[in-house]
Amino acid sequence: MIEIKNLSFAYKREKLFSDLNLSLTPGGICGLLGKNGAGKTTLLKLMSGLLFPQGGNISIMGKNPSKRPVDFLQELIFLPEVFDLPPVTPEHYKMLYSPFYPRFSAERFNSFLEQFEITGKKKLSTFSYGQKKKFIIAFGLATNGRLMLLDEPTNGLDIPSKSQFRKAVASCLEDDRIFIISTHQARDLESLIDPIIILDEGKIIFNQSNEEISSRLKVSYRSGPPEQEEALFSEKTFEGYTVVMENHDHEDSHIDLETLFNTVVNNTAKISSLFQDGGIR
Amino acid sequence: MNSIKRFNAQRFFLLIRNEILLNRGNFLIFFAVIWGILLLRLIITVGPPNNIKIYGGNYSFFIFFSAYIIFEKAFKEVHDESKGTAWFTLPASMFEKYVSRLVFSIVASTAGIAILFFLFTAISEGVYRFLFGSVNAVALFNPFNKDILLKTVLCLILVSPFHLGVIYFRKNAFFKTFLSLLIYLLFLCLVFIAALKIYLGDVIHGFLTMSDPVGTIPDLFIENDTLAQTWSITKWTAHITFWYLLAPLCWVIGYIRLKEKEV
Repeated sequence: MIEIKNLSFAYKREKLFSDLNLSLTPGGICGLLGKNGAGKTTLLKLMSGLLFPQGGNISIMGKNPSKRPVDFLQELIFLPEVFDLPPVTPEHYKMLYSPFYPRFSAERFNSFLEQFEITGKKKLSTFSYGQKKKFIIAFGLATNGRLMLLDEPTNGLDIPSKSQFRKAVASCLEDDRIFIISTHQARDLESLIDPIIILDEGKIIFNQSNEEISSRLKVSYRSGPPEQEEALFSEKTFEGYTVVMENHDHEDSHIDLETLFNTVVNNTAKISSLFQDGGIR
Repeated sequence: MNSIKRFNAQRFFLLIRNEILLNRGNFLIFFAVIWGILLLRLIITVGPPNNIKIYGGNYSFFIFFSAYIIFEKAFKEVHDESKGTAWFTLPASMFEKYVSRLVFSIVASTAGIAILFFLFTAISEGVYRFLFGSVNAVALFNPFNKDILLKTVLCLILVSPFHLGVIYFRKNAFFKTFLSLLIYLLFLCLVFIAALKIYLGDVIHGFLTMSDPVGTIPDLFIENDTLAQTWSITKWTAHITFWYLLAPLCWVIGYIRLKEKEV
């Protein structure tokens, strides 16, 4: 579905990606994590054809996004962090833009609006940021596009809306559809995303499924500091220490996204060799 | 197959429809302002009502600026990250998106101004008749008059480099395009002078001073067959370039530029 080969990209003289490779299959909700400036938004823009690669190539559903072909755009929904909606009502917006999406479902759209509690005939431009975001997510999901790129989708959403968002996205997951969600709000999407991709300094340093992660890493909680050799990462908490270790004895344990991210970023080489067989890219 | 992907009439008309529906409020305001200006002009020129041509020189001015302003408003968002993202990812080909906005801005400005002028002159005439009982107080505007049609085409040609400027320049597109055109014209003048100096160096001294027995530069062109022919070809090329090539060229370059535009 998504094949990125030897991608290179730079902003003026600032090199961001060089020889980046990524391969993703449909049927998942990929979490794209990374520090500020790691290139998450740029990667989403390259995938959506808003930016053009300076080297290498991107192929999505067999199409080149840089050429912006209509049949690619009909499958694409890109929700940027900053966006703008016209001063029209939700119904009017649907009338204006839904005809461009051949598989748009008005029924689903109305159901998502109901779920997100967006009712009435107020103009979209008068909506709050969170309401606008929920509206555009509802519209995007209703298009039934096969590629959904969401940049920080939970930013600006209140607590109930985050849960509604998770439910809505989960209900739309199909075998031929892929979601790529870039986020800093790791906790908001913890239960949703699989696989997890970590981008650091313009490189993909981690790309693994949850199953693979839990089979190779385990977390334990200690009252005192761990032995230097056994810990891949440790963090002092109020109650003691959170320690990430190799899962030699295949114990069931859940590692939260924040801890995983810190482990990978702080111990890239070791994590990379640990997941070598699992295909770290 | 490629042409189907690049142009689909249904999508094209949907885009035109969206332009109309999303901009109707702005149009009403824009045309109301022009109406106000015309009214002010009529009030100022009030005297003995006798076939006043209130549109006179205003027509070209309004056609030029409305064709520029409507196009500028339509394409401003390609430089804006939040608005541009939605436009570039809308499922229609770049050709459909670009041509729909270009056609829309041209038709909206020319038809809008023509209808507005016609209505204004017709209503003004009605008011004059009602108030003063006079006939033919205001000359009725005829958009199909040959002069008016020629003025319309001329304005659209003159505005086309500014359309290109809107796509090229992120900010202050009008002034940057105007300056670019000035520099380009200056360059053409220099090339012309250099050509004269090279080919007529023996009869031209200093900047462009002619030797006495030869007379003026136009005399030289008339007297010398080769020069007369060259001059005629140059004039013909300039005529064709201006009337038939300039606007399509600017619009095509604008389209290519948009295809390469990143957000």
